[in-house]
Amino acid sequence: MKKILITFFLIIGFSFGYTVNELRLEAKIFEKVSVYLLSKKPVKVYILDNDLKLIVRYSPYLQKVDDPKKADMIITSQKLPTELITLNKIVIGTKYFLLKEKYVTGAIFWHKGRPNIILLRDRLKAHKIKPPKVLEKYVEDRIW
Amino acid sequence: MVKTYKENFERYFIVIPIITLIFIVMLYIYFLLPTLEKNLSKEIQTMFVQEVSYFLQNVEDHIKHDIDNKSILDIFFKNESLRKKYEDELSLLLSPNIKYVYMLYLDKDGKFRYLLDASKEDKARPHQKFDVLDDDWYKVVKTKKDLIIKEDQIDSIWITYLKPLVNHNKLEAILVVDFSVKKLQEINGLIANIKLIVVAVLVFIGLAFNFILYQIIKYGRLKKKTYIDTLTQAYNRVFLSEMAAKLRLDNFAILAIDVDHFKMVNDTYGHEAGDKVLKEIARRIKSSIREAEDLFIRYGGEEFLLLIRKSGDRKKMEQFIERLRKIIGENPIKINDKENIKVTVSIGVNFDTDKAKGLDEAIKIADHMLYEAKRKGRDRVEIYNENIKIQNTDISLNDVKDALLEKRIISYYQPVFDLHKMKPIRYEVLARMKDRQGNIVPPNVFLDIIRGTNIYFDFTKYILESNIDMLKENHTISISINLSILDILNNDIINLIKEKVSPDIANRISFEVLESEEIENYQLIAKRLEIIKQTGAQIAIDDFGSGYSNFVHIANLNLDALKIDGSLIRNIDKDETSYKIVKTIKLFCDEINIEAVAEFVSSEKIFKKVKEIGIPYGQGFYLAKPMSFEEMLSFNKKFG
Repeated sequence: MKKILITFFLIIGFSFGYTVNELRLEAKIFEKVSVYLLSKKPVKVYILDNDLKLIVRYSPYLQKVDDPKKADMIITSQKLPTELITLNKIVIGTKYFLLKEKYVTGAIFWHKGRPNIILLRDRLKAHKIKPPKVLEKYVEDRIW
Repeated sequence: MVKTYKENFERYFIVIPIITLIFIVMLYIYFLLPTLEKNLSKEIQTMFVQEVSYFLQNVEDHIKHDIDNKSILDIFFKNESLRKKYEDELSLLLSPNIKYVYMLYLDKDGKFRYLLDASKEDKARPHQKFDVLDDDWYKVVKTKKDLIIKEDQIDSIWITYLKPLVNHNKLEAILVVDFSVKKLQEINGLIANIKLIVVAVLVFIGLAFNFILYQIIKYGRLKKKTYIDTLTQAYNRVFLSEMAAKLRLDNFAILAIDVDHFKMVNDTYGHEAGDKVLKEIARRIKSSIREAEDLFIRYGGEEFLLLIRKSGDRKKMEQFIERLRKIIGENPIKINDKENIKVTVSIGVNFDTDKAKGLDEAIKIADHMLYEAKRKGRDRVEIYNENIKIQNTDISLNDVKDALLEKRIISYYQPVFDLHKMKPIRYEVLARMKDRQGNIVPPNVFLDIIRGTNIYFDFTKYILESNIDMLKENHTISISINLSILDILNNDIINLIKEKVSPDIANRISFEVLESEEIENYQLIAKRLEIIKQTGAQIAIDDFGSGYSNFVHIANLNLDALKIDGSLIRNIDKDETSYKIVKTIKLFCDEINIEAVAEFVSSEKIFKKVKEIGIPYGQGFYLAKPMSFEEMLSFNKKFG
């Protein structure tokens, strides 16, 4: 059953234009950023979209949870419904435009075929997160 | 000689190195493909980058012209329309192969940010951060020189070309062009196709190699089968005829070896026993010769040819041949659990192969000597020497075979006269062969060639059938047909006579058994002749008195006539002894109540002597020469 699901997600992943290389790279980035930000292993994540679930498959330190309340972080490619916003979790978007949403802490997204990371300083601060030095180059004071 | 066969076979192995060579070349191409792929992509990369480089150089010139020695960043930040202008200008580069074109700058924190973006998709906003995966990007900052980065970690981009915009020796911005992976994929696709073709060719060559190898092995086996007699494992005539042209005949002595009384073995013990005998004799011969040097061939039913390489010492060779004859005949051959039979061979030898015109003639001489060995009593070796005269004709076994098939074997007829009434009582059938030019070939020329072969029996059958048919159509004609002892012993011939000699012709046909061929088993012959007699046909002994005559046996054969040999009649007028012998034979004939016929009545003197002795019947040139069928019919008419 598990294998069938993985195959299913892989098919979905590819149908959205991802390649295995990109998926692995994206998963690695998500994992690193999450672990550095929260300074814990594993990081419990609530994933809103099915096509993002493969990220967890390639990230041993990311643990998918079904209950968003138990999550340390929410990963989304779309705007969150109000009930999730009110949980006040760290939210990482997979699209640049999501940064416009105030509840989105940062974004890890593909731009011109390359992975990009943007973490917004004030939103990190709101979650009482001081970004480690290794993430400093991805921290932005504003959205352009 | 076996080596020659091998050489012939190995010729086909030339194909293998050729195929191997092609295979190696293709394999080399296959392993060369990655290098080819690398070089090809490098070439295309250079070609593309060069084009783009010229374009970007022009853009740089335009920018420098527009900023008029001021800071690029200052001017571009303040002037949105200028940004737009260069976005439009740079977008001209966009194509299926060039995916993104944009301009970056490095902020004070060392982060790359967009200054403008001419890309149609994934368009970035000015100042938006641009994360780089590779630290190589910073090289361009250091060196301020154009840089090409191979984007191995990005799936959609092949290479990125960076062109620094340096103003007052300070790097202010970088023009960036991302080349799509499409071209690389095209190259890879092309290489993959070439690889596929090469692999297909390799597979094809592999298969072809195996197929050819299989064919060669199969051919080799087939060739061997074609050349080897399955029963005796000796070479066969096909091999001999193929070897004939290559053979250095003068290096070999030819032995014609024939199994004595083989037909009797077959008739008495069956063909299985006959096969065992042939197999064992072949084994004994093979174990006595040098198989790599000598050639051992099964030439006919029970006849073998042995071509032995001349050693230079003729005496030793003669001793070897004599030893070979003894080895073959020494020990009886086991034909079944209970019976062993002693079988001997007769051998005819031709050492003078260098004097023969060809292999056929050399074999013919050996064959003639074999016949001599048979004639002189079998189980002996007869060696050819120059004093022996052999009738030299160009007629071969196949010529006779063809003549039979083409009905060029014809019958001549010589009348046998009632010397009292001077009227022909019957006509002796004398076979002739017409060659393709229409020349008449006498029987002594071709009978020796076919004797001992199946063609000989086919010949007898043909003469019998054609003349029996003739008798059925010509009711006033009586004939006599010669049969050899071989014919008498042949079941097919006897069955043919039984079947064809019907009562309406039986009293007009008589069979003359040649007495000059020694009759060893009179009882068997008597039985066979009795079968013929039961048809109603008459039996005569031909050439009686030629040297093998035995009155006791003749008296027991239930004959109708006895033809006195020409060698006696020929001298009857000159030689008293001949006269007396003929007279005795006449008396003997009277005693056992059979007809006496005088052959060779070639002159008036002989005719008178024959009459004087009282021989009632005669035949010879003096009376009438052999004549064609048509001549015989008109000749017969004269006598009513």
